[in-house]
Amino acid sequence: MIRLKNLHKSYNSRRVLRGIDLNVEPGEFVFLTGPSGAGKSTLLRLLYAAERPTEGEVWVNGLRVDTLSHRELPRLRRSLGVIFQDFKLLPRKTVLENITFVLRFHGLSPKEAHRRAYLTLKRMGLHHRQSAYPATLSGGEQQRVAIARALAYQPRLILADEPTGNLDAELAAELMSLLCDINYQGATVVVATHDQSLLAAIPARVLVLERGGIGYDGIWPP
Amino acid sequence: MIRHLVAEGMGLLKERPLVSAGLTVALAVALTLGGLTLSAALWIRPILASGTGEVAVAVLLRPHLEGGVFDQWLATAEKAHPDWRFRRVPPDELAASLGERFPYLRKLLAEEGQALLPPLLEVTAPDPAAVRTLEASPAVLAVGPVATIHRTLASIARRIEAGLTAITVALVAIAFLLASIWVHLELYRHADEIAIMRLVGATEPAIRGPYLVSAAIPGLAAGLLAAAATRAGAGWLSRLTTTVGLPAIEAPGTLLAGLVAFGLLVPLGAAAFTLARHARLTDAASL
Ligand SMILES: Nc1ncnc2c1ncn2[C@@H]1O[C@H](COP(=O)(O)OP(=O)(O)O)[C@@H](O)[C@H]1O
Ligand SMILES: [Mg+2]
Repeated sequence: MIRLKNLHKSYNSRRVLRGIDLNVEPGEFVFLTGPSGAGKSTLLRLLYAAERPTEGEVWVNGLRVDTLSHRELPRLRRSLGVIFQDFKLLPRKTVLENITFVLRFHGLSPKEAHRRAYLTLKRMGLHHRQSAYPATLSGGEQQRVAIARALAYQPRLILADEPTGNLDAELAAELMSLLCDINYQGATVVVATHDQSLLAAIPARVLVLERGGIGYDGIWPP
Repeated sequence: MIRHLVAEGMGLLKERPLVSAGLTVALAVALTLGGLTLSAALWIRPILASGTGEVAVAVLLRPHLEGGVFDQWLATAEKAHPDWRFRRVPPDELAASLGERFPYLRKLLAEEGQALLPPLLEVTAPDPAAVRTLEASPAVLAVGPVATIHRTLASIARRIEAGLTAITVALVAIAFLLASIWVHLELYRHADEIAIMRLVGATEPAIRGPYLVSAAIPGLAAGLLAAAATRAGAGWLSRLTTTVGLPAIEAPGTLLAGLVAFGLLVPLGAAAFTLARHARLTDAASL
C-alpha cells in the first residue's frame, strides 16, 4: 500500500527526513508519532504529493508518487482520504457543499452526493450545521467536517494528520473507534499524532520518527 | 454541468459587483472604440480606392471644331493611345456644372451653351502625366493638371487607415490585458481555495471552469453593449457626414457580430492564458 525507499527530505539545509525505508501493507492501522517538528506532516505530504522528496522513492497504491506528473495528481489524491492538520475547508462553500464538492469528483450524481454527504455529517454529529460556513464553526467542528470529507467517499487509504488535535477526549475516542471500524472494513489507516495517549487505545503498529529516521517500529507500548 | 459552471462563475462576479461592472464597462468601451474605428476604416476605404485607381485628366479642345474634325481627331487620338479611355463630357453636363459654380450664368449657358463651350474630354490613363503630351496637338487648347490632390488624399487615407487599424489592435490588446489582470487578481484572491481544490483531487478543468466563465460573462455582455453602441455611434456620425455630403458610415452586421465574438473570446483567451500560467507557477511553488 505504501512503500518508501531511502527517503530524504530537506528544507534548504535543514534535513528533516534522512533515509527512511518503510512498507505498509493493505489493511494495516499505523500510528506515526514523534515529537513536534519530527517530520510527521512532512512524511504525509510526501505521500499525497504536496511535496517532492529530495531523494528516494515514494510508492502509494502501486503508483510512483514522487515522479507523478501534474495531470496524474488528481487520480492519486482521489484514491486517498486525507485529513489535514489545518482542515483545508473551502471558505466559500457550506459544510455540506464542502463534502458534496469532493463526492462529485467521484462520479456521484448531485442527489447521491447530497445524500452521502448528509449521512457522513450525521455520523460525525454535525448534520445540524450543514448549511453553516466553515468560518462560523469551532475548531473541533471544522476538524469533524474535514474528517467527514475524507471519509465520505470511502477511500482505501486514509492519511490523518493530528486528527484529534482540536477534539476533546470524548470526541477523540469516538473518532479513533470510527477509524478502527473503517480499518476493520478493510481500509488502510495512517494516523500522525504527537499525542501518546492515543497510542495505547488501539493495538496498532506504531512508528516513532526520531532524528529524521524511524526510531521504533512495533506494537505499543514497546 | 454547464449550469453549475455558470452559477460558480456568477458567484465569483457577484463577490465584487463593482469591479465586475467596471470590467464590463471598460471592455465595452474598448470594444466600442474598436468597432467605431473599424467602421471609420471601412468608410474611408473608397477614398483610398479612388486614389489608387486611374485618374481622369481634363483635355480642352479648341472651340468651333466642326463635328467631323472633332470626331476625326478623337479617332486618331484613340488609335495612338489604345490604353487610354476617352469620354466626351456632354455640353449640358458641363453647362450644368458651370451653372452650379456661377449661378448667374445659368440662363446664358442654357441658351447658348452648346455654341459657347469648347468640347471637353476626360482622359483616363494609367499614367496621367503622359496625357500632357496631347498639348502638342494644334487642336488642343489645354490639358488640365494631373490631380496630385488625389494621390495626396490617397496617401493620407492609407495612413489614416493604418492608424485606425493600429488603434483597434491596441484597444483589443487593452481588453486582453484588462481581462488578464482581472483573472489574475481573482486567482490571487482565491489562491488558498485553489490549492485546497488541488489537494482534494479536483482536476484542472473543474478548477479553471468558473474563472473562465467569470471572464466570459462580462466579455459577452461587453461585446453586446459594444455592438449596440457601435451601431448607434455609426448612425450618429453618419448624420454628420451626410450633412456635409459625404457617404454614411456603416456598421455592417458582420462587424457587429465580430464585436460580440471578440467580446467573448478576448477575455476568455486572456483567462485561459492567465490560468495556464498561474497553474505552472503555483505547481512549481508547491512541489
Ligand atoms: N515548507 C517548509 N519550509 C521549511 N521548513 C519546513 C517546511 N515544512 C516543515 N518544515 C520544517 O520541517 C520540520 C518538520 O515539520 P513537520 O513535518 O511539520 O513536523 P511535525 O508534523 O512532526 O510536527 C520542522 O522543523 C519544520 O520547521
Ligand atoms: Mg504536523
